[in-house]
Amino acid sequence: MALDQAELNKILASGQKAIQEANSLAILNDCRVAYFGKKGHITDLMKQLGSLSPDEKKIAGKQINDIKQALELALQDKKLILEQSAGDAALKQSYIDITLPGRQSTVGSLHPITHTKNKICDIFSKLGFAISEGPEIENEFYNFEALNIGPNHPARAMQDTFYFANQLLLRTHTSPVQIRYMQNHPAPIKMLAPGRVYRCDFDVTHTPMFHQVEGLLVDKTCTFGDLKYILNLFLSHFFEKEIPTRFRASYFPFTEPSAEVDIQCVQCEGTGCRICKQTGWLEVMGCGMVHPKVLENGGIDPDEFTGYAFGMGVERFAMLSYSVDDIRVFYENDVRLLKQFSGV
Amino acid sequence: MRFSLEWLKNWVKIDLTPEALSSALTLSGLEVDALSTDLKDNDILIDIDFTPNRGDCLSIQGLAREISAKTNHIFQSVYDIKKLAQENVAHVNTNLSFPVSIEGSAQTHCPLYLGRVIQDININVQTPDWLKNRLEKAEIKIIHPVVDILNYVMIELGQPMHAFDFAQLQGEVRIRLAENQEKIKLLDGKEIELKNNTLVIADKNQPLAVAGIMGGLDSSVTNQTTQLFLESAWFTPDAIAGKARQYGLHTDSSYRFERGVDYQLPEQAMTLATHLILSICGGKVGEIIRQTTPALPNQLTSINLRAKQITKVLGVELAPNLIEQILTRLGCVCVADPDKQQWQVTVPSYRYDLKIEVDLIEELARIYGYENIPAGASLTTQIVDKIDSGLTLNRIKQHLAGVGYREVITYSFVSPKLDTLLNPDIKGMSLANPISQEMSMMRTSLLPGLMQTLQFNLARQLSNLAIFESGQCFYYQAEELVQQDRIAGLLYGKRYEESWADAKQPVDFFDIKAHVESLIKLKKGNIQNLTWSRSIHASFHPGQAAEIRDNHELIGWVGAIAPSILAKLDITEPVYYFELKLNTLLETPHIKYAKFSAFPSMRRDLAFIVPEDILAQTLFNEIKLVDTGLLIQDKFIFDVYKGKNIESGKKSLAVGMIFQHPSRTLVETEVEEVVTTVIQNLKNKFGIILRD
Repeated sequence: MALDQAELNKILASGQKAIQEANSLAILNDCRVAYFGKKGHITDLMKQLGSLSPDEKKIAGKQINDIKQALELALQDKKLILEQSAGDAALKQSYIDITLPGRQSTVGSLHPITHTKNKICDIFSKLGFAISEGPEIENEFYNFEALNIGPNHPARAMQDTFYFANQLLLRTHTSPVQIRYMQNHPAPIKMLAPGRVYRCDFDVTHTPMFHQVEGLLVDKTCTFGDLKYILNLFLSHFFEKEIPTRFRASYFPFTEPSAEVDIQCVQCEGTGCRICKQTGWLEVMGCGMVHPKVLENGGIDPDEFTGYAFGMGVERFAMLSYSVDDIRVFYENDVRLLKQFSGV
Repeated sequence: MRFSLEWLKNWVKIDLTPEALSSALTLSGLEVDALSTDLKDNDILIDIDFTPNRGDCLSIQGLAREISAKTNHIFQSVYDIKKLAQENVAHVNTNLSFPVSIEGSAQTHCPLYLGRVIQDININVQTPDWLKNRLEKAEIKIIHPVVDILNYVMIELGQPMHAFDFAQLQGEVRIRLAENQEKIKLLDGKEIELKNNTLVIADKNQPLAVAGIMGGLDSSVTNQTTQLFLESAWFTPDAIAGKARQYGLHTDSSYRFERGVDYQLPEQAMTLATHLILSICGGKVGEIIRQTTPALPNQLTSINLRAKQITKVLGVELAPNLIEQILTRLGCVCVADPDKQQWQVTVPSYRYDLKIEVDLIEELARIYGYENIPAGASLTTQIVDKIDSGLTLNRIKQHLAGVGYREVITYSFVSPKLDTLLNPDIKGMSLANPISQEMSMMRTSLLPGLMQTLQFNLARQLSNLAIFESGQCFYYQAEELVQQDRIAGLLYGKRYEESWADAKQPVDFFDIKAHVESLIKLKKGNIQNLTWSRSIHASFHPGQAAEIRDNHELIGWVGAIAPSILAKLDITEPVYYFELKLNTLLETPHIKYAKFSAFPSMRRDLAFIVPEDILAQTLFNEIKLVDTGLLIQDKFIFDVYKGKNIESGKKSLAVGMIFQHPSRTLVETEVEEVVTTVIQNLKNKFGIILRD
């Protein structure tokens, strides 16, 4: 004799409904006990099996097993769902506002002149130039005489110099470092002298202290053509594009031939503007072949070696690359300016 | 200097546009500053900035020669000087003369002096319009017909001249050095006191003119002057250079003489000036009075020029014919070797700037055109710079920026008042010619610049600041000038920017000390014998500052700036500051791997009651003394406590010690022995007792 299938279906339906409606793991557990516990509906049904013949037992057993499996599956599914949402609720407790700023996010900055000086030095370092520095208070020999600037030379009037009482002065260029370097290193030489220099000048484009980078190369084969090549190379790397240049004849006592180097105006690209005074060109460097007397003063034989030298103002390059129009802002050190250089 | 194109065209046949001419001049070293149009005359005015070596171009004639050489257009002198001289002869009265002498002391300064007396000039004539017009274009003031004529000669030929009122000259003309404190009243009305380095033109009584710079008022030409004494001389650049500046005088004459004038020019100029005066003002002239000294060159400069040297310097091979052509255009005479690999080049007297071979090579490059010299493709020397394996200044800067400092760069000269306030015991250096009193003393430390930067930013409503600077400081130590590279940092205000996350804590000594310690840790292998002791530096708070020593050598300071100094500078919150000598940090010891122990370590913690005035360093020193077996690997203070349960005037310091042996496991008793001895010694020596 089979069990009453309609009765079994009723048990199954009410079980499924209870499981469906359970909204917590505790209630779901109550459901489980109500069907599978010691006194549960399924357990009751199982007890009835004992009084049946083996054939009947087989049929009824299958009937009970079917609804048992269906309910177990429903319980298992529901449990997973309820466990998941309980976990979610706990996690929700630990949500934070991820848009609040992080702790102690203060980052400092390097000065724009340092950034520019580093960029210049890095380019020449990659080309093999050794970096050398020297004293800022110099004597007249290293600042003038060794550089072929005689006592009455008009160049001494051109660059008004800060003097001290005892014949010492503030160097007007970093060229003295080149002389000291030549005296201490045998040729060939390939060096760069960055540093602070001083001249009596104070306006929108001049501060009494500024920075220069000067370079010197001395070798047995070293020509004006090589000088043009290396400066073109440098300028295109500094400005990060191919930039037209021109070498204009000029005069410096320590080089001959001497040249001023102009680049095409970075603002108007040569069409003429306020920055280039309508010429389309900007003067950015001075250079030339080292004067034989200067080589001699550095202890180098000018019949055996030739050399080239070049120099530039770091502020000039910084002003051009950051579009600064008043040089004096570099030395006010207003934090609102400094902050703009955290990221470079 | 300003040039009229129309006037230039009298001297050189140019068929270039003004723009093309201007570009050619600029590229060859005569920088054209401006081109402008003179509408009245349909003329073009060219303003040129000259480099100091090109005194030869400071005239119409000189610039015309240069244009001719650069652009290969024909140069032709407007005047036939010989013919003019012959015409002048017709007006000569041989009785008109005057004694002129160049005294011994002046012989090297004035190798050539020409004088000429002119009589009976017409005082009623005016300067002719054509002459006025040309002077005005050259920006020369119209003064008096004779003066205007001399200025005209200077502008056209390049020779500065002077005219004296002959009636005022007493007895003779003497070219001599001035005597110290001798006085002269100049044309501009100013009286100056002369120095004995200055060349003067004098009569038998007194100086009449500062040679080559400015004439005197008493002997100047006036509307009543009928008799003249004309001067056309060659003063050497060394005689004039620096002298005009010494007296604060800058004249067209000194501008030319200090750069150099052609020694063959005075005679030509005298002839042209005489000719113009005779034709404009009339009169009778005397013979040219000529005095020379042995310093006058008696032959032209001759230079040996080698073709291979040209190539060696320029990196381009120029054809021998081209070399000769360019030098000839420059007025040189070239005599070639048979194979044309070498020349003997004679330089014209007006190119006194050409003295050695490389001077000629530069001329060749200039005229050939720098733009025509190909940029070589050679980096030449294959030198590899040595690699900086140690700590670099850039690394230090980046570290400081990383912990929140902003780099500043301040002037190396500061206010002496501020520097002396901050560094009272140091002897510094002052500039003889500062920009201003506020920028007149070389900084003896980096503190003045950083303090000024703090003040500047506080005045702009900033409330927190962390800044650093590196650079040289300048001071005397035992009468020796020291120029020392240093790095310094300043901290002010709150520890962090205002934020939800952190309490608004002000910075203190231990913040800045941590930054200094982190800098020192950057150095490879650290610094072995580093000590911190109380600083007596006058800038600092006596109780919150330390001197840092490396093996007894002072390498820096860190601490709070003295409250009395802050009060004087109107700064209300504490300021913390460090300054370190860079050389110690940058020295690079070779680093060697140290094997670490494989055996277990033991830790012992001890808390002591310590009198307040005893520093933690004392405990460390004592522990080090006791630990003769070097068992202690690390020691540190892990607690500092004052207050409840600690009697006043005392503090509690808790020390942690890590014991470890390199090659075996330690036994309890050897650790205990060290600990016991430390406790006993601290008690006996310092009255430091173990806390219960």
